[in-house]
Amino acid sequence: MPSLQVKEAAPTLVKKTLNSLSETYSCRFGLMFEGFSFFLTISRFSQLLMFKGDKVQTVLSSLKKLGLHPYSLGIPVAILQPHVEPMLPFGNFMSPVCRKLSLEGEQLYTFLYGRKIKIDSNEPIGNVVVTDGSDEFVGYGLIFQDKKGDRGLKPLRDLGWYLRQGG
Amino acid sequence: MPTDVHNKKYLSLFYSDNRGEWRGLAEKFGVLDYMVERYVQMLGRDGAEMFLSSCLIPPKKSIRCNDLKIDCQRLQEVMEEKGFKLSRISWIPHGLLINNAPSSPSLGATLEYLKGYYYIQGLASMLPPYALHPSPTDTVLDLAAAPGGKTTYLSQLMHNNGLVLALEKKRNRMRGLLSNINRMGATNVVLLRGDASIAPKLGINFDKILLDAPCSGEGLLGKDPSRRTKTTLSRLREFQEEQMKLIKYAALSLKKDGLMVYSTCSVAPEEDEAVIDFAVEHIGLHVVDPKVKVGEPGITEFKGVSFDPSVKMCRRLYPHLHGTEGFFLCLLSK
Repeated sequence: MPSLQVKEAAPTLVKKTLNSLSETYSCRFGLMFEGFSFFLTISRFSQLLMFKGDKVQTVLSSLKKLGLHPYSLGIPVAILQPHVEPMLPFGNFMSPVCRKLSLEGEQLYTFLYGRKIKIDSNEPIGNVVVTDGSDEFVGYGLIFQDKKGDRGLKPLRDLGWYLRQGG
Repeated sequence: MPTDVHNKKYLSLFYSDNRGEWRGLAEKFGVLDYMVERYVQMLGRDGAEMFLSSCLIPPKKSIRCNDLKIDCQRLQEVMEEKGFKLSRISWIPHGLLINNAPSSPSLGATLEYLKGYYYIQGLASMLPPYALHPSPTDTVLDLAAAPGGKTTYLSQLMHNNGLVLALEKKRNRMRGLLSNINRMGATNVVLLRGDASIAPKLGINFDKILLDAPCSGEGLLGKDPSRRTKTTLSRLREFQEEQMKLIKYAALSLKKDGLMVYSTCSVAPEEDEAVIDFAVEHIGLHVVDPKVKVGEPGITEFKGVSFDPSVKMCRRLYPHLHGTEGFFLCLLSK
């Protein structure tokens, strides 16, 4: 994912992206991003990143003078194309304020293998932040209804990625 | 400041006086003759045998607890519930030695691993960030950052404040490096692919620099048996030249009174004290006491070459003495 260009993200883009995540995952972000700067990488796909503090500006400006751009920085928030999708490191910010589904035992491990699981039929369809028994982030999922009318959870991104593809 | 002019002083380090005297030992332990000759010079014959014997078996595995994510006492309890037996290490506060592991899950496949509660890391490899003592207001440069164990420890020690610029030359190591940074929750890192020669051109005077230099890996003979015969004397010399270049680039990027850790996973004085001697004599860096409570002092003379007496303050770790991988660490100031 070598970036071709990194630039400060326009506030409208940041707002639009966070609103999109908020709508999809029923989040209430509030003021939790105060003190963060947002950046946009333009590569094969665009990505929104955030970094706390002002030291990053000095480093980016030094890199820019040499025509260099970082491979990554700070906290990857979301990819923007083809549609807005939250990244794994952003999960810890989302889990306290977004719609959640908690998994334990066999279900949790199946999810972390990147496989679909059956869940309680009372869960409404839609996107959820998935947590474990300790209420800690383990991934993002989509609750769907199959042809028989049963509910299932499809992993969208899960921490098992670090083992499967993390390198 | 071309390194080829200055390292003439070190040429005799690459001359082997081997008259087959050490062939028996070399064959017994499956290493090159010149290596045994050096171990005997450094450690004496008995010490060399003990060192080589300890290199026949890989060192015990260890993990670094990530207190950005979990209390270390709690991690120990959670892992012991899974069947691991761990013990704390007196000289590295986040290090946990794995004394026993269950057949399943493996250390790299637990939920705790995925959540970034720990990093699988050799104990000695935890020392360079710890000795650098980075503060939450520092701007730190990590040269040769992959696979990210030291980068993420820097972030941990800085409580994710300040900034770590992690520089890595090899394209094929970037993905794994980024994955480790993200898994461990290191959020103050700017990751850059590039050669160390970029660093001084940035015009940033870094508060601290970590240079864990690419090396022969002679300290990893137990972990990676291929290292026993991989490095010829001429290759060792190439490593030294590269290391001298790297330390020069690092020094140019360091602010006045800034601190730098130079480390290698090698016990070869050619890659260790000789490089520090070069840094003291030709770059003007000063050796500082790293105040770590482990290791033997640096060697001040080897194969007739005298090093600056201050290299004594550097630390050498050996598997037979410290139960770690072979390692070298030195703290320098500008």
